[in-house]
Amino acid sequence: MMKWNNTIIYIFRFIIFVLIQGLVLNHMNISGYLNPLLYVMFILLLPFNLAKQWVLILAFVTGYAVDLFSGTPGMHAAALVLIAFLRPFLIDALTRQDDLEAGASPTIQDMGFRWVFTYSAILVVVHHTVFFFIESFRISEFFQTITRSLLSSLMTIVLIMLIQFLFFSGSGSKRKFT
Amino acid sequence: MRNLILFLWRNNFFFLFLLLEVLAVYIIVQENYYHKNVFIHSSSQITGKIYEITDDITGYFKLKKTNTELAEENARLRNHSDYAFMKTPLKTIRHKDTLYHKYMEFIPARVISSSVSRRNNNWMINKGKNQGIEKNTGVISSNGVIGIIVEVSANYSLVQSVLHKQTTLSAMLKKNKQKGFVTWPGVNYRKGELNDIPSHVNVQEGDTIVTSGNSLLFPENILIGTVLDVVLEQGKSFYNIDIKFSEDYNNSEYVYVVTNLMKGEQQDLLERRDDEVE
Repeated sequence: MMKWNNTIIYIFRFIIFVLIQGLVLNHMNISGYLNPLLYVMFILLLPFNLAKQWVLILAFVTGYAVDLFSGTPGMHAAALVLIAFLRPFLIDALTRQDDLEAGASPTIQDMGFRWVFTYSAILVVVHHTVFFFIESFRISEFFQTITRSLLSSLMTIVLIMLIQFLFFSGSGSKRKFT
Repeated sequence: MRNLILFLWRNNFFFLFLLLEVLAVYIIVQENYYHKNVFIHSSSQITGKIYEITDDITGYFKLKKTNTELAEENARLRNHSDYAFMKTPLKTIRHKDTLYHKYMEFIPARVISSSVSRRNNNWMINKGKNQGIEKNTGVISSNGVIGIIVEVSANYSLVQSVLHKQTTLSAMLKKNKQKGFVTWPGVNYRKGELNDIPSHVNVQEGDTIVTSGNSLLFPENILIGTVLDVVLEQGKSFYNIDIKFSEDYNNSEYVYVVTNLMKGEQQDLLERRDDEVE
């Protein structure tokens, strides 16, 4: 029963992240350089005990769904699958195996602020850099693209930490969304 | 064989990753090379619907500005219509007008999904094949050039906007008809570049840039923007010109799809020449 509840929460989260990305963030324009891609957080938030093969498949589906809304076929999917591939290695590098409790998720509540920040920051920067380079696909725009990826990453990381604090920090609505 | 399968199985995580990555790259490449928006095609009915609903809501916030713009355009059109001209019939001449062929047709449409923040911005409009829209036709608005239709489904079309790496507009300076082309270098959606204007031409800040009519997509003299900044690097024979787009792409809403009725004939002519050269 518990397991099904979790699945429904993740499906719900998937829809929310894709819609927020497709309908709000894609149309937000602060400057040409700020272009947050918050949907990465869906993959970042998947529980540790989910098989990594599933994470790959979910990453492809999520990326593809965002692609549908952005008119950028395959680009989000390519960048997000790479993140799903790197994720288990990064988790191994950042954590000792016995620190991972059964059923833990990468949230502030379970892992603490420092861990979540490092983990999110590394993956977001890699994802944004890869994505913006695939999108521009020109070496002549190198510096423009790199500035774009770094500034957008910064904004995405701020948004991710904000959401972590609001919903996943354990205070207040305890365990409601995790 | 058994060893191969074992090897694949042991590294299934890596190979699954590879498979999905190759699939994604395949989709990207196919899109870029053949311009076939296969998957937007099949999904545009769903995403198109969602976009239409959200746009119905957000559209209300822009109503006032849109109304003013439409009123202005109406006024402009009225100025061109028959009753704006005084008739002084000294002599009546009847003739069948065969000098003027109608060669451009305009279909009004509404932008239901747009973006300006990406390097390549594709927009969606709410008219499609059923409303007579064809692939490879131009899209303009009352303020300027919007883009080119690259894909049509039954009721929606996809516009490759001016804010796209692959969009090149054939343009000219209005005052002296010097031709060049306009591209978008990215980042700032208000600014573009005008290239290929030779250095002997007199270009001033504030000069108007319009479409040249050389391409088969746009009629002549559609506004594109104005010159912001002119730079001539030493030893170069062409100017680097920054322009300001006349259209504010962040709030484009009502647009016109331009169909060139003579396009078939023009293309035919070009192809015939190509055949002869071969």
